[in-house]
Amino acid sequence: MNRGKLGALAGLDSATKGLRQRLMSVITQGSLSVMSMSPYLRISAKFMIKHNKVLSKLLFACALIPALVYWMNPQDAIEWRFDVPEIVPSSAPPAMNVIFDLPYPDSTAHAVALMQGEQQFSAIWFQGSREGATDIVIKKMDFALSEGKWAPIGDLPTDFLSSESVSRQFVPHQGVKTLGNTIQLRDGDFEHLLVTVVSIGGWAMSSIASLVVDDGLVVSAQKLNLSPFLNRSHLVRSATIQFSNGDIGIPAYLELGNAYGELVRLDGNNRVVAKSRMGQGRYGIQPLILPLTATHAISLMRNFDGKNQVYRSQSHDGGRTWTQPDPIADLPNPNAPVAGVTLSDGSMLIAFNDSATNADQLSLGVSRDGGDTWQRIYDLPVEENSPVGAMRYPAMSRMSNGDIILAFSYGGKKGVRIMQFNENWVKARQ
Amino acid sequence: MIQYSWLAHFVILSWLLFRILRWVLPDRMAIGVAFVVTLLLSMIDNVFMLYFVALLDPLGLLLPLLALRNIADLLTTIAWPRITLYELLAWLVAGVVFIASALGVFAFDLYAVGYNDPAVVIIATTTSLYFAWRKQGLFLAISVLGYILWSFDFGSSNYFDYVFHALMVPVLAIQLMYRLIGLAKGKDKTADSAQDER
Repeated sequence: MNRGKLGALAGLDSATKGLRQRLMSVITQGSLSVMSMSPYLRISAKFMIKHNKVLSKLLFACALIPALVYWMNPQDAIEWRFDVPEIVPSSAPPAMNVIFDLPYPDSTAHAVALMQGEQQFSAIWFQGSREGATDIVIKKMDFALSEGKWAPIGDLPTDFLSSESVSRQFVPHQGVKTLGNTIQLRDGDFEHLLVTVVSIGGWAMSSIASLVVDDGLVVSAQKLNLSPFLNRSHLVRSATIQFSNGDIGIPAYLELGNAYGELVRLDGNNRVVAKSRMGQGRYGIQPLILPLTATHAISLMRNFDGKNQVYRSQSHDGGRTWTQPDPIADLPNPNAPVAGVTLSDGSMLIAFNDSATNADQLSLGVSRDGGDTWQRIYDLPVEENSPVGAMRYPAMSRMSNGDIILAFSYGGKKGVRIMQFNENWVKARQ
Repeated sequence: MIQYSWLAHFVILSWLLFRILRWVLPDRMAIGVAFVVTLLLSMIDNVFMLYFVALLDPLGLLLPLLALRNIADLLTTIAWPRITLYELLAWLVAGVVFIASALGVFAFDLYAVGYNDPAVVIIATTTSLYFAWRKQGLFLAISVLGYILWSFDFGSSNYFDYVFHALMVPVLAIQLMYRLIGLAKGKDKTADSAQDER
């Protein structure tokens, strides 16, 4: 094929005399069939040869368009400050109750998350034949506050999301093989969710999708743009945090060969505007981020590299940068996530597996020194007749009335249990 | 946005089929068959198309426009300015480093820079000026258009999603291999000069 005779035509590529001569030769001889078919191309080629210097200047002018657009339409600088709501101490008497317990002896139920609102909350978890299976469904159980106690609405959870319902509404339309960890996007908002979706491969090939749900139906789904590697492999687990301007911070993590935590920042339109990595070279995932002040936050991460201690990373600039994760000597970790909330006195309360190797026991611990030391305040009992096995993947959230809700799976993903307690109960055990 | 995504996947799938079909069919017939098959696949709800989109989205500007250019390259006698061997090597290394940094191989996450307005305008302007100097009209257009689309929230909120795709790394590697083979056979004269190839 005769190439190279019209370089100028396509890319305005050369001002050399030789090329011009060759181009003119091509035009006059009519050896390019495409040119002979199109008078416009011939005119264009002649024009470019004649006005090569002008076109060259035009190219440089075009190259300055980004600077011009930026000058005309600059974006606001991001302010890195956490929103730390004041926690009013509750006057309720100390109390701790199990409010929901649902065994799944014949299937897998795991990764409970809490969606909170005024006088109500919902627990959501995935359930199916096994983790990562195509029959996985996100279940939802609603709870309401009645006479100071939280109680489930109805007896059984409802089917909330499925691979098919998410796939149907994806923009652009695309396949979803299975669903994983799902969390609420904002406190008090039951219509916006973040879902871990897998289309091809396993968890390492997952992406985070932003979902809009209306009246129980998925109306829109779109992946967050988080990676240049085919937009993989990011997942969510812990609850989101809020910035002072209303932006949302998602504690996300990457799990593809390497593994690390990230804080992903979404603006009011749910578009990613920034993300910051929690260290490098340490396999800490599933960060739980607890902002202590407007600029200081602690991230506690599941140890994913066999060091068997919870990793801690800190930010002192509102989440823009994070310190290298360091293992906390006082907190063993059997490769399992932790959940937690801040208390009214500024201390941190977490639910964690208090063992380097065994996840069968879930405990509660309090730290008043930013996570250096932890006081164990309670070991959750293993209920009689419950399936034996791991009690893990806790989720913890403070409700509008000050109560703290703790949810987790037990029996090695064979059941879901939800408990309620309050801060006075925590104080009574310290 | 939806229409663009559909169009971009249509172009890529057509190009893939075209490259396969031209082993057994004449070029013009191959592109015709590729377009018809892709159109049918795109119009009928099917598993293949759903997972093809799930795998490659977002495609951005670079890959679809290069695919179109490649089709034009093979079907017409229009010759596009080629990048030199050194440029090819540099872009390949940059692509590998870029992906590696995003996957945590290095402490610095280059992809995260693509959300940042002042940093993006510097990158977009610098690369655009380079392509203007090299008279690489197509890449200049991608760089400038990518910035405009990113600036006005057309699709992804990360600039790099418009001007880069992970598939570019294998594409560049294959292209580099062809060049090196050509060089070894004495057909490539761009190894030590910046002049455009014919």
